[in-house]
Amino acid sequence: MSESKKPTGSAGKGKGKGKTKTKAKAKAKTKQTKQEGQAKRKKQPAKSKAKAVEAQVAEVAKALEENKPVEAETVEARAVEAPAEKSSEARSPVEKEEAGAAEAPAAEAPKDKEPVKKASAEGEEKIAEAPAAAEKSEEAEAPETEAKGEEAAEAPKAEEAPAVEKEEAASPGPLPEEKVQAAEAPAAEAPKEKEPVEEASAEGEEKIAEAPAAAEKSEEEKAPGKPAKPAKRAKAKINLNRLEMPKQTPEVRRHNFDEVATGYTYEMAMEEASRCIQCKKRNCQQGCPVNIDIPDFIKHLQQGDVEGASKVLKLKTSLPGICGRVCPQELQCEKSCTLNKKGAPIAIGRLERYIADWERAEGASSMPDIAPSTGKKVAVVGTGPSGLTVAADLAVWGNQVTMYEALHVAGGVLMYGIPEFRLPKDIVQREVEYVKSLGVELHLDTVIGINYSLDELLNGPYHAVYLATGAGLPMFLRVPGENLNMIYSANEFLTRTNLMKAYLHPRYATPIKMGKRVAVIGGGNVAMDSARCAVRLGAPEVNVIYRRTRAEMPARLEEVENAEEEGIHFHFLCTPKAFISDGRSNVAAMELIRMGLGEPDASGRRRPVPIPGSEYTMEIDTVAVSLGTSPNPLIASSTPDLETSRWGTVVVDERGKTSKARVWAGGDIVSGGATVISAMGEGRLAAVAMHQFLTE
Amino acid sequence: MFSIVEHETLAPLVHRMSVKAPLIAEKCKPGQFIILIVDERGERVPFTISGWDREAGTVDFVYVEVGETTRQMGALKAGDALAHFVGPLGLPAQIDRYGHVVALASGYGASAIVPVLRGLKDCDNRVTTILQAPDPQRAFGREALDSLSDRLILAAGVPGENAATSATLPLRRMLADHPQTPIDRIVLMGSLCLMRVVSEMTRPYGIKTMVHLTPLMVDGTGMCGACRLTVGGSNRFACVHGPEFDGHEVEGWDVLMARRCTYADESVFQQGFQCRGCSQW
Repeated sequence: MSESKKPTGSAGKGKGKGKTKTKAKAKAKTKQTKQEGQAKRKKQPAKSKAKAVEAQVAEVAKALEENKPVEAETVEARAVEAPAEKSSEARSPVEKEEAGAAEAPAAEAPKDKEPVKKASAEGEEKIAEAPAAAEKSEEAEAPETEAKGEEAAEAPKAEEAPAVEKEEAASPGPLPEEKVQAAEAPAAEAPKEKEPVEEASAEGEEKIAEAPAAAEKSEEEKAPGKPAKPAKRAKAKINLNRLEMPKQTPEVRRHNFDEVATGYTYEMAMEEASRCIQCKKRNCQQGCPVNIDIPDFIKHLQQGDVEGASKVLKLKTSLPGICGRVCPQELQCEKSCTLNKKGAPIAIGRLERYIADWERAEGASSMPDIAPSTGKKVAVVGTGPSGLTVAADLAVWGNQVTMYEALHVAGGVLMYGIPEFRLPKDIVQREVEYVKSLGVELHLDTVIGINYSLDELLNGPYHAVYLATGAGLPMFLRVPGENLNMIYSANEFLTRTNLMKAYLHPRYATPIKMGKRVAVIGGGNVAMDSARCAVRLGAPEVNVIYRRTRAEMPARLEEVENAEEEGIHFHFLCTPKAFISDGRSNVAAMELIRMGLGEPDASGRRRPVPIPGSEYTMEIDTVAVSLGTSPNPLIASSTPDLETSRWGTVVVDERGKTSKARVWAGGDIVSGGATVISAMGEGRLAAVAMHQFLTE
Repeated sequence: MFSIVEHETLAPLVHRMSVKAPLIAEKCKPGQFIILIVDERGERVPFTISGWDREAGTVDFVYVEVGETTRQMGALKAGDALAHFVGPLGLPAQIDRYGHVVALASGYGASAIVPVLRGLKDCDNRVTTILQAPDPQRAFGREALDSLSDRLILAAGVPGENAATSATLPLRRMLADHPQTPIDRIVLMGSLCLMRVVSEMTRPYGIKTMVHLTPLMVDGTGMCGACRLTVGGSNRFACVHGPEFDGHEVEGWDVLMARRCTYADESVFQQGFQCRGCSQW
């Protein structure tokens, strides 16, 4: 039940491919555009200037969306463009210079409302002049900041200017106008600023100059008492400083099962939301499998209206607290985000999680209005994400829904598969309780296919049935020794640990026996989950064995990074050929064979090919086989008129209808192991189709 | 919650529990099992169904106290309730007209095999039952077996002695008589060692020997693979492909036994279990 679909390319955030220009060209261009821009602005009165800037930004945003080179005329455009080619990692000297040019009088962006000055002192050059959040600080401190920035920028520039051609370092000299402004502004501590600015350039941090606009403001506002008008102009800035998610440190978190990511604070959420430039073309929304109105909910956040944001979320997703945590956003909404082209997409998932957590904490769970009863009864088989979604939708629309669950607790893979430290179980149970509060009945310990056949349900009280039994059948390698003691399927490993809470043994009765050297076979989310559980269960050495390379791993990127931080050893391009016994039927070692990457296979990834004669042995005393899962054949095998594919998945049309009358299906039982959000998306489609059928 | 209707002690550390579970009582068949959880922090444990009353809606099973959970169960009384009870799981035992069937039972199997014998009897089979017990005092369930068998042989050891091979003695005599007095089929419910030994004994005779395997389980519906074994070269899950298998097709008995005892400690040693000689100890 891996959480991510197999990507066709490498998983990961876009990191701005970047075209590099020659420095001469850049220099000439920037100088020219600077002058032009300055000239332009000098003529315009304040108000229409704001409008002009807005227009410029709209143009920039549009150009970014269309992936076109930005017109050199607009200074912002130039400013935006220059760092466009850079990622926050090391830049080439050419790029550095462009940044320098862009930065001229660089102002510092506040990381949060207060320490604007601090930010400059620390030499972090970023511009965030987004609405809401930054407004205040901007009003209060912009002139000073700019001054500092300008001076700071100026000082090293003066020094470095001669060196530019030779060493291609940092920033060229400021323009005459800016110099004047800088001089007029209150003096800042030039020497103090000097180093940080240099460092910043050297480290290649992204910055976008609001130079002229800021300079302009400074000019206007020199008269004391004159109020700043940053609001509209604030929108004109683009902030590429994506807020990190606060996490437990690896040293601490490898010893507990508490949630690793602790979530944004209000201020952080506001600041991250403020980065959103509210593109007209909603690529992010299109990238979402359930079409969440992302710009709308972010807009509510920008206005400080978390409740409004929550309502927008709930229009499209019934599990925001879950999806915000487990969606592979880097392949979905965040991949499509316009700012992803600059390597700093809005952290949409973290914002979604923030809103859902806020709503949970505030207890203001908005109950939808239940439509009048349709008089129709529906059975939902399976209480994972797909089943919960369909049950909730159909219930809200007035149908009488009963959920059946084979296990002793509802939630499906959300309970047994995804570990506590990624998805706390009380969050899942709250979702289940929410669904029950809509009037949905829940029968645990009931196995459809054994206690009731589908026909018994359909000939009994139910007008329709939704199958959402998931993909719980574990795949094995089929190599010698695979049934040796201490070789687990990841399902067993995770079920013992997460569902049965073996990490709390003996308080919880289910044990899990583990050795000292664990090998997890696989590269998806399940493998990461298994490995990270093994760490927390106390295994001194945990290895991940993956037959392709890191770039091809289907796991959610953040989880791979977390796993690496937690000290898990990754072995790429190898696979087990056999497991070796200790003479008493326990696994003691495995024989691995190295792999090379050949032609791409059906998933689009290069096919791993064993390299003959490359076998080697690794000592191992516990194994978790995490290769993937396929649908449990129980229902299919007992329902002859339910068409299934050769992989055991149920065949459906584009709205989830199966070959069996009055039966729909969705989630992993249709797609094979996929994501929570795709299961939900399929559920929503099927629910609509089912409701139509029930009420026509 | 599933209430305990009856709780009877059959022998030291051996109990029969009768639980109200109409959904299971309605459909269960011989050879199937249930999984129960005693309380919300308990583990999932499988037990073979030993009887049922479809009208009363109750399901019976027999268990031996061998560890934490079974000891906890031993202390429960009629009127108490189990947190979870699910079934009937597994495929039913194969029951047909075979001719002369020899049944071997030990431990919990003495009761759990009763529905199978009843089914065999209903199909007009001649049934010879060998009941293995550590000693005559602990040979519970004799009446039920007697009423369903054409012949009941008690293979009871002497207290303190190694009784593991005792059921095999009468079987060896019968095999020596085969095919003059033919044996058409053998069914076993008991310990892994007994099933392994008997399977090897009957292999040269080509007599189909059906074993009722009881590996460790977690979910019991085919999703975790804890109960997996190799049967005829293929990977099988005891919970959905068994628990009854052809003993001659089961491979890797050593591994099966090792996995069975992953979490066992010495409390699992039973008089009559030859555990000390096993690969795990």
